[in-house]
Amino acid sequence: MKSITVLLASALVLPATVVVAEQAASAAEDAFSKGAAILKVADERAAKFPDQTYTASMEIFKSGNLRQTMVFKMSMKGLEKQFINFTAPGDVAGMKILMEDRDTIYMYSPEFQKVRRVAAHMQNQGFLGSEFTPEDMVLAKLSPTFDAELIGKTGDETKLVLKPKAGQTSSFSKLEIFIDAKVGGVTRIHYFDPSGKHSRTQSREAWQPFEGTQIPTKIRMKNLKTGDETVINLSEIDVKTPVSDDLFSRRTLMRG
Amino acid sequence: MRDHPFVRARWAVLAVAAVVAALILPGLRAIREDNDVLAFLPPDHPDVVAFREVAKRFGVLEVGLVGLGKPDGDLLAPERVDEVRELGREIARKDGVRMVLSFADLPDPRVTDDGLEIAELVPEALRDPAAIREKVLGSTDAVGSMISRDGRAAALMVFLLHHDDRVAAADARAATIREIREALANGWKGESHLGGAPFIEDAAASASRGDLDKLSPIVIAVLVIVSAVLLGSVVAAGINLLLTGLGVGLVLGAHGVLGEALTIVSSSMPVLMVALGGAFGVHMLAGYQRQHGTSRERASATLRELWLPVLLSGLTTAVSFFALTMMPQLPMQRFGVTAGVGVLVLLLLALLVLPAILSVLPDRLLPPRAERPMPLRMRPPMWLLLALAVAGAGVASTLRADADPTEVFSEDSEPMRSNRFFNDHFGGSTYLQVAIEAEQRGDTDRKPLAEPTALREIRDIAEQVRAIEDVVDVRSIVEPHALLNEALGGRRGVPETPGRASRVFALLQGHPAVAQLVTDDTAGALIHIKLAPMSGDEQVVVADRVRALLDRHAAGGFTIAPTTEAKVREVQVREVGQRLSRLLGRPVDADKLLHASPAAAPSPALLAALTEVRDRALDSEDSPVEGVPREEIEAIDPSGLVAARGAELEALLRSKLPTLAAKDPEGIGFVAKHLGPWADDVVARFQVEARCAALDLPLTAPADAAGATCASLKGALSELDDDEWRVSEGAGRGLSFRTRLTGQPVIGAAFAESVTRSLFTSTAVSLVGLALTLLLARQMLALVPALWCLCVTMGIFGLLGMPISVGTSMISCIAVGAGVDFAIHLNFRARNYAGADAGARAVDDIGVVTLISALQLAAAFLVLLASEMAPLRDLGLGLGIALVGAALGACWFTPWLARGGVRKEVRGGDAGAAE
Repeated sequence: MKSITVLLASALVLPATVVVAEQAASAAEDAFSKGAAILKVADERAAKFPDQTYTASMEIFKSGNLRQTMVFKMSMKGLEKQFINFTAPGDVAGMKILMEDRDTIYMYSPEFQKVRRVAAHMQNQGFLGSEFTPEDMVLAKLSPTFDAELIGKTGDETKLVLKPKAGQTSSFSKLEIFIDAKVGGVTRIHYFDPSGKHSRTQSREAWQPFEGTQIPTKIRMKNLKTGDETVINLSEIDVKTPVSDDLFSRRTLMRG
Repeated sequence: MRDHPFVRARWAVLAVAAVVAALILPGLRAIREDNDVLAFLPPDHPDVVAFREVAKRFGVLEVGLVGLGKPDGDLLAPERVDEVRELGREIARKDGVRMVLSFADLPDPRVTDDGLEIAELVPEALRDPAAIREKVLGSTDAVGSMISRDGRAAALMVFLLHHDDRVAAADARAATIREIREALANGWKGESHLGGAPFIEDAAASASRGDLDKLSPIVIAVLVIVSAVLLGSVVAAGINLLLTGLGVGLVLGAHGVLGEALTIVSSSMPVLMVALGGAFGVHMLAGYQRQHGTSRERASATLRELWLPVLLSGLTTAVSFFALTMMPQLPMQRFGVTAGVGVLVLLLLALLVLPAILSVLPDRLLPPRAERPMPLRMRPPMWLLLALAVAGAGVASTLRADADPTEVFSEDSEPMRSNRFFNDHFGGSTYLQVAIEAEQRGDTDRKPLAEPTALREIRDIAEQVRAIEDVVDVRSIVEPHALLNEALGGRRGVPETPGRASRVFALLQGHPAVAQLVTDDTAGALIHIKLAPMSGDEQVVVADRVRALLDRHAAGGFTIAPTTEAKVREVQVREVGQRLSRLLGRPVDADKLLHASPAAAPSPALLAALTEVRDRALDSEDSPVEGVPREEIEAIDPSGLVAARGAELEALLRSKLPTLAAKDPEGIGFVAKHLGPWADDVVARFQVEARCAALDLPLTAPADAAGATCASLKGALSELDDDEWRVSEGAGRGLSFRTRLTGQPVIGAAFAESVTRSLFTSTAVSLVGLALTLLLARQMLALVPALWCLCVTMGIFGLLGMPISVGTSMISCIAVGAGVDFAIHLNFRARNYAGADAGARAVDDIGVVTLISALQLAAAFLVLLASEMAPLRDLGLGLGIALVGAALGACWFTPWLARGGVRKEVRGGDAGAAE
């Protein structure tokens, strides 16, 4: 679950990188330094909206058919603390998930009326049948894991290639990030498996004005091998209302 | 005498032939291959229909197995684990591969004190060999399916992508399998084996087609030499080869032009066409060599002499092939049509194009050649022939098809080596599957299998199947479901309520470990049953035993009713008792267990446990409230928590917790909401322990204790407290619940039944078709040696222990056709003579030639004995036997059938032959 929430967080913060990308591109002397600068600023800007709440509907497509739509409300503080409340469909409604940090996740299910700790160490397994995996959370902060290279600009689109830093482990041999100046943000991410094959594509669509910038309200993750796809639609986005620290406790799970 | 009309039109015929060839031969470049082995299953057989539906829904046909071993054994050393892990990942990256599971990165969910931990069974950081061995060999999910019990053999489960249209995806699938083979060759140094449906299907197709591609040229070369020897002329043999080659080219080219793919069976067409169609040319060329005069005169004379026997011969052969359309297998039907049409094409070439070619040859290129009489001295008495036929028919009645489809492979083939590997290291390689399909009746959005009652049914089936002899392993969704239910805070077993069952399913969704056990919509589940190594017939016996267990679900559904109903409660108690009896191996009276209750007089242990949940609810991280004074908490008597629930419990808490009631009145409600169920869990646990005591089961037992223990029976005993139970009818929620048995043994039995039935059907149709054709041509008696040949050939099959297969129907039809063919030629030869010995003289003239021709054709087909595939070997041997039998039958019966007296007796039938 953390993969989904952090992914959404990254979708909200990455538009800021584009502005920086334009500036950095004009100041830096070579592709790597430009790329590194873009990433660094992106990560610094990641905390621009420390408190966020939104409603998301996650549509899971298998073989081109919509198999399930899940709806959840998410409250987030920083990039670590997250509280998710599933509201639909019936078999997940009422389920709440609390993420205190990357490795501490608690789940409350009304049917069991108990809070249970879930330690999921497998980073490449989709959650609830979706195409989003825990490893996708590296997208929230890229610079600790990846070296960036600015490849170039075609029309409005700037392309960065990210490769894992020495000593860093990743399921991906590289990422390609496409930044569209028209919307001011990352519109596509290509994921490449260890054999160098393009395996997944994340698309950010339905850009809307938000707090002086634009944000995508539809995030699509497509598995190129299976053709399966998960689409997350965001609504009721609120980055102004403070989120209380008290929300992120096991007690809230019990009472929520 | 004027030239025959066909000879007069020779240039027109040759021109038309050239145009047709120009139009059709380019189609040779567009021939497609259809390697769908499953197409040979009878499409309308109920078991095959079920198999296809189940395979489509659950992706059974997409699961391959890669068996791995090392010369020095152990696969649990860290570097070996790394090798297995990396190989699995490399294969998983291939196009067309959805997922790969190995013991190294198998998700290993563990229930912890406070929840659930999921990690790879062998995390990459784990380097301690002893710890790896302990973890892997302690995993019930891995042992027996991904690692052998001794850790010396491993298996990767390779899940390929599912394609609704398997035929359209055949090329992509073949490419995927090719890439997997390459990855295995490059990534694993040691023993490796490929098993499972995708690889077996690929092996069957490639072995069959490879053998045909390899052996067909040899067969054809032998046949060409045969015709050269028979004709005594290289020129004549060359013309025949040219003509037959043109015929085969036209037939195959038409496949390309019309988009008709070549199946594994129709790949044998060139051989059959050259062998059977080439005979037309041999007859015509031999006739031409007998004639004198100019080329046109000789060609015309040949046509006048031989057009009718050659026409009849061609028609009867074509009818034999057309009879194959009665077989249920679509590829065989298509083969019957294309082979029949192919024979007619060859017939047209022999009667039209060949005379045209011969008529334009230089007069001396193919000089006249005197016949060399070769008397056939040995002629058994008629009673012996009849006795052989009767004995053959008797033995033929014992012919059976083999229900084990793997028997088609030779012992050193990839599938058989793989089978031996999995038999030796994993206890078996043959699987049955019970498919469960459920549907909620009525207006509800509940997921069909998210019902404890449905899960209990699945569990009970699995348990009962496990008890069947020669069943070595049974896996179902119930085991992972039970584990997750426990991790979430429920019992270790089938969830207590539909809500819990539904929640567990939601969390399991998309998890690779359950990909083969339940569908995404939670409406279908599979029980996988592994059988010990055994023969096909024994597999069918085990399958029948499993099927008998499914009779309970013949009604196709049941009602889920509350156990507060007396009748439902009665069923619940009885069935729990029956299950306990099964698990304990001794009779259990569940009624007595109902009286074993701790609630009447709570034990100190129960009170201590209730105290613990009281404190957890009011003073712990799991408490929904905070700041409750300790003395107020301790004022709550744990014995009061045994029965108080809901409003009563809330009132109790308010009275005992004044501080909390004042500070957080809403919090009292949250505490009551959770404390009640937690206390219920405690009481239930003690109730179960009381039942264990009633059954004389110790509460604690060593982990490795043999037999049932209280711990292992807790789930079963607690089901006496479940709120709902399955009944066959009555008020409650209706659930459609259908079970179907499928798997290799079931399909093997269906296939065996089908080929057996189709052998008789196609043979009968072939005989009827031949009879009608011969009746019209007044050659009915030609059927006699054909029938004799059929009886004797099938009898020899029986004596040799050859099973009935798809090829047997082909052999049967060809045996009948060849028998008629030879008899027709001998009968027409006999027309050259008058008197009772006409037939004998005909046999003296061409009997030995007929026999030699058959022997040489048989020798050519016997080349197929070098095939890796048993059906092709059987086809080669069977055709050899059938052709020699047909020639002998024709030679031995013709002297009797072609007597003047006999022909007069059947006047109105083939009396014309006597004239």
